[in-house]
Amino acid sequence: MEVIKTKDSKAVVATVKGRIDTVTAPDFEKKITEIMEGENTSLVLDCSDLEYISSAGLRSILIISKALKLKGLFVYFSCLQGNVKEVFKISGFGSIFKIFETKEEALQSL
Amino acid sequence: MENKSNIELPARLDHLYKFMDFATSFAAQLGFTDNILKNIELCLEEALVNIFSYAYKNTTGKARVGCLYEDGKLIIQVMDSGAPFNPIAVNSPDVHANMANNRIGGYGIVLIKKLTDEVRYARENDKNILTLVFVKHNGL
Repeated sequence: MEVIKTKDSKAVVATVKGRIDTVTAPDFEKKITEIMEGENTSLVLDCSDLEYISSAGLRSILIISKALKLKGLFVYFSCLQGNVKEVFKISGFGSIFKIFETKEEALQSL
Repeated sequence: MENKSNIELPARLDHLYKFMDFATSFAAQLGFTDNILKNIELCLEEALVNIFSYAYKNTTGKARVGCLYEDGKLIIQVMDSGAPFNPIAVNSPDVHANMANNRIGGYGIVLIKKLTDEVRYARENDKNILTLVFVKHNGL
């Protein structure tokens, strides 16, 4: 699992690569927390290279989202693929988070 | 290939990938699609992590994953000798309520219920036995 940070004027974009499972979720949470430290714009999680997510990853996302909310910030998602898209749908995450087809669409909406 | 195989290892997180690789390799040789292989991997992770965290909460022990293929179905049995724990009986979380309060778990069983074709739990001979069934769909 790898997280790459890029910045846009309106948001921090984090591109997640690989897997967020029970083994890697703590590292994912830590990396996102570091990336968002001192930032005052919302987060776009670009999932175009995210191959797999389990419930441990969903839990991490809720924890990250709650921490950002305390600062008045939000998490947006872009480019969910195959299995990850399905997991978002059946867990109900698709209805509580804003999900965009592309990273550009997510940034335009802000 | 043999249509039946199993693996037994200490029920610990550092063996998670070995269990998962075992089941997905078994299913891949049978020609299951990539999408179903991901579902198998995911359901197995959720089942095993429950065992690591709940069945063996206060003890340690082994977990056994058995794969059997018959009549177009992959039947995966996940077995442990820990405390009785029926994941199917756990209430599904309300994702909206989870955002509002501090409950953040419970998604694993939702994924298992929705991504398997059938799921059963039994407690037999002091063992938890969770059975996950995946139907092999042809020509889709």
